[in-house]
Amino acid sequence: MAKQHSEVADIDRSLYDFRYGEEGFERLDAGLTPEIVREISAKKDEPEWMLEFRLKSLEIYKSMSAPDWGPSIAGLDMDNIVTYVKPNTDQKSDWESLPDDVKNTFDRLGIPQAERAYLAGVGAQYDSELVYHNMQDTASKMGIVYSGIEEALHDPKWEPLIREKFMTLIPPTDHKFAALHGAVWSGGSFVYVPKDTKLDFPLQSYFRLNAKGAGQFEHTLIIVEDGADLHFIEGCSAPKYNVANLHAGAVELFVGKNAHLRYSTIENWSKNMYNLNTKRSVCDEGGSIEWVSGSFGSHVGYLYPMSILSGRKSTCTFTGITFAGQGQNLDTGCKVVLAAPDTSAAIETKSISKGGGVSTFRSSVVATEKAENSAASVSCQSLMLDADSRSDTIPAMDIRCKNVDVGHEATIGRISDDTVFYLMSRGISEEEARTMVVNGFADPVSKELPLEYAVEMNNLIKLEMEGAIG
Amino acid sequence: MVETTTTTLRANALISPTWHRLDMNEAEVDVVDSIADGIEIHVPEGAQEAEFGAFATAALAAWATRPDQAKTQNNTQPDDEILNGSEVNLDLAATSPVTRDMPQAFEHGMGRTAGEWLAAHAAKTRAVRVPAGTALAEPIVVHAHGKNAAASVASLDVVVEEGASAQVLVCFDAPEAGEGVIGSTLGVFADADAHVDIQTVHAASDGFTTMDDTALFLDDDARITVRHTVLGAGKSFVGLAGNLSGKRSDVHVTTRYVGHGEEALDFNYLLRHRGEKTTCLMDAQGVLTDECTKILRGTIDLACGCAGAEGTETESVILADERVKNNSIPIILCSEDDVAGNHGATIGHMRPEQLNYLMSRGISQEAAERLFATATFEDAAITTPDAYTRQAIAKLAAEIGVPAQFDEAE
Amino acid sequence: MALETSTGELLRVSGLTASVDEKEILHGIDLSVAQGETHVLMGPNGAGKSTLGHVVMGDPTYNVTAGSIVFNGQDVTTLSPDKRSHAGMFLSFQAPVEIPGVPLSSFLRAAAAGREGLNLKGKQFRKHTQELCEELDFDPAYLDRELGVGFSGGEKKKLEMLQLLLLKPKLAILDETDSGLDVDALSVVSRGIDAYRHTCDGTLIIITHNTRILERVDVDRVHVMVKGRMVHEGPASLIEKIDTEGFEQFEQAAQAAQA
Repeated sequence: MAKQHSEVADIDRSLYDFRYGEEGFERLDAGLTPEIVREISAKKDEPEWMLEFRLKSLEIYKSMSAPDWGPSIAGLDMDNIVTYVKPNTDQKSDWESLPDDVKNTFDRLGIPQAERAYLAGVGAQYDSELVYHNMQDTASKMGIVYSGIEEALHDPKWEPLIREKFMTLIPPTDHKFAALHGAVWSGGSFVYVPKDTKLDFPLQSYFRLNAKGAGQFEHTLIIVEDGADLHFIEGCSAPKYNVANLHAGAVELFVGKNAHLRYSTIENWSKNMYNLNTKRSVCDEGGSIEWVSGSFGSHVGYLYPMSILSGRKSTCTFTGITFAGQGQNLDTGCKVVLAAPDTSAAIETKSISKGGGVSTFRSSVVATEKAENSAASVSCQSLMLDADSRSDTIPAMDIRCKNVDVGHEATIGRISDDTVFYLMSRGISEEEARTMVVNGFADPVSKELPLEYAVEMNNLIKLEMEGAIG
Repeated sequence: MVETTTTTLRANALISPTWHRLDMNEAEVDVVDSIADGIEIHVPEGAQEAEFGAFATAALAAWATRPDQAKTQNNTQPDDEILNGSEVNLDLAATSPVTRDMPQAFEHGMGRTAGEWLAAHAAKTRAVRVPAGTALAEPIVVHAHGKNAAASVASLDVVVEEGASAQVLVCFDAPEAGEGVIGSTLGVFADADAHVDIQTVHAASDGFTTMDDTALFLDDDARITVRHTVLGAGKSFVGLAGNLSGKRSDVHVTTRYVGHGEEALDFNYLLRHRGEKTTCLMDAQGVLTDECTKILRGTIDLACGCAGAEGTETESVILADERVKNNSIPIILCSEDDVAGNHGATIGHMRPEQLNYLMSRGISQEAAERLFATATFEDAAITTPDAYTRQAIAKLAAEIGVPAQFDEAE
Repeated sequence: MALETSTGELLRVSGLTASVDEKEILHGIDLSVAQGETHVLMGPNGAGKSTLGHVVMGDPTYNVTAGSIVFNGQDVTTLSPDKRSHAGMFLSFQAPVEIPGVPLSSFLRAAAAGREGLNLKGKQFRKHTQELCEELDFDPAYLDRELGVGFSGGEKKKLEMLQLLLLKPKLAILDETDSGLDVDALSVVSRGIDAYRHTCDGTLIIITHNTRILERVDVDRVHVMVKGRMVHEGPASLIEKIDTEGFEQFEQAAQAAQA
């Protein structure tokens, strides 16, 4: 049957799954030792405090145990993970100066085109280092800083601020992989939006992990000052290998008084990836954080962006979708702490399981004694596409304040036979009917995404749904 | 003061735990090891004595007829088989803790350790059989009275045979002040088409810890209704686990509670849907006052093979004081596509339409919250068919100053 | 109008037996409908009329255990519903499904895709559907709303008629079992039937137990079902008879036949 019925062009499976060699790349030995950590630090010519921070984090890492409540990470052998792979280039601010393999990678992912079309700035990381960073003049004239975090760390103007904020929202003691991140972090972006500055176009960082058996540990630090407004987009992908790769990035977001930050992610790591990423934001009075999160890739995922509403009247919205297919165990969700009066949080998530995939929605909503007159609502819907898959919902609520309203609703189900019959009776094939329902199910999330990403997400769903029947 | 030894038991653990930092995964129960006989068990006419361990025997026998359910629930292999050197079989999803659990004929709601402790410390152990087709005219009644510095525990197995029906009433109370453990462990087997109604009432004073442990097994078309009412006890633990093994079997659990003072209430429910078209409803409602804390864990497990099953959990909690702490963790686990699992919770205030109605009749919000607490006592007294339980509720209400009005029993 | 000859036969249902959950609910149904004709399928509540419509369309809820369905010379008994639709069959639903997140316009485009004469480009297609909406007095704003979500009873009827006119099937089975009482819905259906007959000289099977819907329709044959069996067949005049006497005579006859 002709497959031209959809408005979205079919995408090539090889879109994400291509790789290049590592000729001329620097690759440190696998494993985790103080020597490796010192070597990473030395290569970066970091301030002394950062080296101490790394070594302390490594100690914490060694002392902590891995999570015992989520998907198994037994397939992840840290002694075989290469924590640092430096591509054969320095950071550039024009695509043409990049080596061909690196440039071709981002071309094929459509990053330069997107930059021309609708982005105010782009950062691109290849393995352990940023290889490209550029921002439009208009944005830099507004006083906005968007650079590599290591670059900012070497700038006396920004070093004190980074030292003040770095890994304070996500301390290395938080969990084993936060400690790991503290020890071996490399690359990532620094964004500073001054008071009352509103950027109309988004900034985007794209993370590409090309190296086999390696880890990526980028650190993203964003400070949105009082009254300012930013939309930040993060994309990630990698080619598929038959050994484990690890992503343990950290994202720390500071949202000022009456400031607004939207953080959108489409995660499409290859299915050999262990994605143990940590993202956290804190909102001051009247500030708002909006998360839009799509998780499609990875073999194992642990991902729970956290919002700490510490200022009065601060708000958080979280819109997420997770699609777990064959061989995937994606444990995703979010955490919210209502820690001030009049705060509010709205969480809406969708998850889809197919082909033996496991998807777990995990959340925590904590209302502290200070959360007078606050409200939180959690809505989570799961769709099971077959009986080989799993879909679990594990929401926790800890309420310690009288005048709060916390609502929670969860449903798990499948596509009804009646719906499929109705669509088929109008001439739509079963596969297309199911894809249509799944796209409709995902619609509340895709409509929160920038158009290009919504199209990409629909394509990913279509790709996942192909061959889902029979 | 009598010398006592105490033990700390892990209990009411989640089968699929979450972040340890939240401190919701399980509870600890401090128990005294000396045994006191504060137990009365009344078995009415029509019921017959059965052999020790009748529940486990019946459940294992029925379970053996369904070998499919007794297999591992997930086709995922353990990790050491997935791993082959450093290569990962990426076509198999990494296992989650819950998938490692082997299916069992029955589980204790409070967990194995607590269930075994209760059985070992029972002052009276009875096993009762309700013969096929018999509808018991009177309930099986357990009164567990608290004794100072000791554990007063009942152990009861009830096997309700095909087409039979029975009611089991359990009341925990403390005729005299003191400190100790009051508990029961129930095993209820409902054979095909059987119907069992179980009601437990916690009406003890704050010196006591109550432990209310239940294991259920349901065969085809069996129906079990459960009502747990917690009105008093310094620490109360309620754990119920049910295996809905039979086709079209149904469990309906109603939980009602009021927390006072510094009481700590700890509930753990686990209903495993294994038979086709099985249904469950868990409905919890309560009021928390003063400085009390409460945790409700509710897990619906829609296991592979339970096509057509439906599980629903609802919870509403009224927080009537600044100092209360409420934890809720309503879990749905699902490995079957042709099912429906639902959950809804409202935590904080009563529903606006309820409050509006009451306020339109001149009742303030505070008065309305008090009304809910008082009404829970009154409702418990009206619902129980057992005169002694009614007295225990009235006595507790008088002791802690709940202005409940009770109609005198006939 | 085509005559009743075997060459003009569009649909032939022979000995059709179907069950659900191992319970037989249609027992050896025979039905023949010629090209261009309008047939009415009547019977009391629970007679299996809607079931027959769904089974003819290939609803997987039901298992066909015996018999065959031949449409336009092709045996469609084992064909999936979408293939039957592309072959030219249509079933209107009493209650179309709701699909949150899928705009009506996207759905219509997908339904029309790959059909002769309907491969219109984006704008043309939209214009075409808007015209059909106007013809049915259906607010075109609904094209941008989620399929079926929050539609009233009348709007759901219009949605079904809109698809009838858009897809122009060779055979339309209109399941109007429950719509007889709503005046609004009645006029929508009548208008839909008129337009359908007018534009493509289509063939119709109208399923109903209420005769009011038939007042403005030229009927060729009437079939009566009772308890999963075809018990009677006759000319249009049978409608009037049923209108005054009800189904009792057929029910009694069916009972007698069973005994």
